[in-house]
Amino acid sequence: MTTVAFVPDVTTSDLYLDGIPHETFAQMRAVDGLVWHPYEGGGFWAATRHADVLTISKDSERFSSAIGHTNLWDLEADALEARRSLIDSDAPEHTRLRRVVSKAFTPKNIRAWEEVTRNIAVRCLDDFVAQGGGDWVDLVAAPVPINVILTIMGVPLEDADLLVELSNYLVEGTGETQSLAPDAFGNTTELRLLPFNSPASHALFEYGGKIREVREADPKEDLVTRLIFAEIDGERLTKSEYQNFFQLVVFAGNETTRTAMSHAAMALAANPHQWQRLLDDPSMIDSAVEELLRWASPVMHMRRTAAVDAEVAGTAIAKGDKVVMWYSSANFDEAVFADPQILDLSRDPNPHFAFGGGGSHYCLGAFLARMELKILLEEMIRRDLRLSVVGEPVRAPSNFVQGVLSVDVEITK
Amino acid sequence: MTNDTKGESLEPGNARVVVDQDKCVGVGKCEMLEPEAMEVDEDTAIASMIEGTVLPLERAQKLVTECPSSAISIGDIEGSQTSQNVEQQNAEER
Ligand code: HEM
Ligand code: SF4
Repeated sequence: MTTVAFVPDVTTSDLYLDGIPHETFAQMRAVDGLVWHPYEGGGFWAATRHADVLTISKDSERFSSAIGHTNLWDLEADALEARRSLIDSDAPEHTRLRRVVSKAFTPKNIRAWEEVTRNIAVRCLDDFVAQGGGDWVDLVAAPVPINVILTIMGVPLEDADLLVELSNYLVEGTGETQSLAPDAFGNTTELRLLPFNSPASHALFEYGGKIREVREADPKEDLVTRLIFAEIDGERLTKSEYQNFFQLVVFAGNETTRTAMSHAAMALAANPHQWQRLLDDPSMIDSAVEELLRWASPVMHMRRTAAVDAEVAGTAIAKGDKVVMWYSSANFDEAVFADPQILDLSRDPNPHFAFGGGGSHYCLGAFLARMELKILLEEMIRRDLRLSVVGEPVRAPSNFVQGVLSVDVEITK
Repeated sequence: MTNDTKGESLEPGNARVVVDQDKCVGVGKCEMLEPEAMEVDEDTAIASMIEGTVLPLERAQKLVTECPSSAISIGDIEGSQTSQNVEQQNAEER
């Protein structure tokens, strides 16, 4: 067994300013077993190979989402309880909650929003073209997902700006700086009890609660209505479950898709030959979406905590140990993907982990995210849009999301 | 797609798949790949194969490998026996 002669630090945010540190992850993948990674406030086992991420992800009995936190750092017990939502719960609570909300996210329910999604994508792309290019994040990658999620949730359009602002503050909460005062938006809750330690979460709870009341009295054909009235075995979401979920969706449905769309433009601009292949043969579009998701790896890791003593890849893991699944490494594992550093829009099969390694927590919004990306590509193909990046993109300093803050994109034809 | 050694010994034909209700997360990768054959139920948010449909074995196997929750397995194969059926028969004979 090879022991680690070096201790790579893959948690410093600055490491991600030029994108995923592929070299470092390749070195970690070459080590037998899992790599022990020191971390302030408690180290963790890093799983970097595709096979090991898969094992951990599918074994939610031994690897818990409810203990400690699903991010690298631990939360205090009361904070964990107050903030608990789908993503950081275990069976049987998770199963119950997931069943109720899944009903709103079935392919049929999501497909009903296809035209709405297309209209939003068309509007943003037309703007981008009319301006002769510009910041792709600001003009396309950010507005498309947030407008889609707000529309399908049924948030009145006059409140859209407020919610965009709130969700941007949450995005900020994944980085290291917070620009809001603790009592912003009338918040009186201790910040550590709020998701992302952000007063914007308080505002989202309040807003979610308000719109719930409105829809209870006046049900509509939207996601909020479906969430309120969805029943499994006669049970509905409690008010606080609903509020936590509302907040989770506004974040999860927004930042991640934005990141995928940002990287899609960057990848296509950097690989004009691949883009030409897709223009010539649009029937490749489904595999193109998957490859762009692999390439973007918007969420770079999720954490689990061992509920019992366990073993992965020959490494003994003690009950209570943190285990971190690095999707940003697994998605480029040469044992699974031939030439992982090459963008191949026809790659198939493409068992990437952009939506997690599979199992009970697999991304609830995957169908929606795939539909949004596909529609965006279809509309780009229709416009025969050829892009090139001007200067350097500005990346979010984060070890968690492969975020892009801005990228100046030019139309080359 | 011949990564399934269990499948290799079987004659190619049409197959039906079965979905493990406890494992399915209802996001519908299967419905996306095979909209004519797979459907996530509106009330339960659990996928199943539409009554009366079959898929060529190769495409059925693709579903097995693509399902993010390992919820799909091959059920009956036309003109052949699944290992499951064989096991069942063996068990009954014993
Ligand atoms: C490209 C876009 C997206 C990416 C890359 C992404 C990625 C992820 C990942 C990695 C997870 C964690 C999986 C795990 O722990 O195993 C997750 C969970 C989740 N995502 Fe997404 N997501 C995207 C879009 C969306 C959208 C559009 C929504 C909602 C509208 C959404 C809602 C959720 C929810 C609710 C969970 C928690 C599921 C659970 O714990 O049961 N996501 N997502
Ligand atoms: S792909 Fe698998 S988990 Fe997803 S809906 Fe189909 S059977 Fe269920």
